[in-house]
Amino acid sequence: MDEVDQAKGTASDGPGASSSSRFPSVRTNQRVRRAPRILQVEVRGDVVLYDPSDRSLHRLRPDAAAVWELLDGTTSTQELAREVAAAADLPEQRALEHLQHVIDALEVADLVARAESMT
Amino acid sequence: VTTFAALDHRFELRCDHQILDGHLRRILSPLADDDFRGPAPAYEVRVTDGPGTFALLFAGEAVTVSADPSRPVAHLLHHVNATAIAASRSRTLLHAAAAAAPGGAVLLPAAMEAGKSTLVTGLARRGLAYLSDEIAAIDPATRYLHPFPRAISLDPGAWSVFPDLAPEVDPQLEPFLPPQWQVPPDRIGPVATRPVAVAAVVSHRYERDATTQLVELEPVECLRRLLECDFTLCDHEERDVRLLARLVDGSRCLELVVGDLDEACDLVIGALDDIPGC
Repeated sequence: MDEVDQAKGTASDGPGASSSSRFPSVRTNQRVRRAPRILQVEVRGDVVLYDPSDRSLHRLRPDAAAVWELLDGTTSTQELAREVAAAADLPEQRALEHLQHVIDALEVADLVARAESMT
Repeated sequence: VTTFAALDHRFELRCDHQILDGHLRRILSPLADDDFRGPAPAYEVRVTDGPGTFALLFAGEAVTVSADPSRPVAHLLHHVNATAIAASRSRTLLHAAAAAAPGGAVLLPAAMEAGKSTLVTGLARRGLAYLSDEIAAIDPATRYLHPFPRAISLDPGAWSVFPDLAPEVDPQLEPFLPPQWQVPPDRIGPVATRPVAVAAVVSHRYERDATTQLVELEPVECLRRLLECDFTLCDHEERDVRLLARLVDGSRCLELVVGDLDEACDLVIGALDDIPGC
């Protein structure tokens, strides 16, 4: 059983768009959606994802679970960061970095898919 | 004619050897379904046709024909189990033993040869009501565990632990019986007759000479282990994942290493006593 959380996320240094030289990995124009095959259940207050492709379980920490809920594939990371920043009273750039961290971890675990980029 | 019910698998039994017939009916007696009306397919155990023709048939079809006189009975018990699993997929079926305390059941999932039958026998001897030693059947609607009180199968490794449970077998039958004790559960203790809510899940394994210990099991790991033991997951993946998540959510989750059976039973019963209502 994996645990997906902010700490496990790894920022990518790939060619994705960066909005700041301080956060070179952040891709603001991507839209990410929850992989449709994933089953979401709750165990003792934790969000737990079941992946039928390999029958693995992934427990999300609360911050990752909150991001997971936002990943509908229609809203860009930048827009999500704006929502998170407003809700949590955070600087938008910090919210964006946090989002990207979690998204990277979810991608590594193959729990999310990229929707098309907003070009 | 007696009809037997292994969960949703209903069947009758015929045997051409009178003493063996009586023995098999005693083994299967906890599964007798007195309320069932109507014909059910029959197992036929044939052991008197002569060398090389020891046979088991089901619904008129040969399951096995062998020179080994113990093969028909071994196949009968295996076929009943396998067909029960195939016929009962409206329920979530787990490779687990189970027993019931007054306030709820303890589910005992484990891998093969991990000691399910031995542990549930020990618990039944201490007064817990026997539900199953091999297949735990859960109703997805109620999440209640249904009894499948088949005879407890004890392998030779467990015989020295329960010497008083050695079956009294007519010497004539010895060639026909596989090297496994089939112990009707009413010889041991109470047998559950109604569905029971699950109060605790105890994932367990026997380890020779290990220190017996019972520790809390992280609930998501408990869910993972239950999914590993799920016979119906292939056909009912979403149903079973959601059901077992809710079951774990409402149960105490524990991990047991069994070095000594008496200590293990003390620990499990103590843990059940700590659960309100048990």
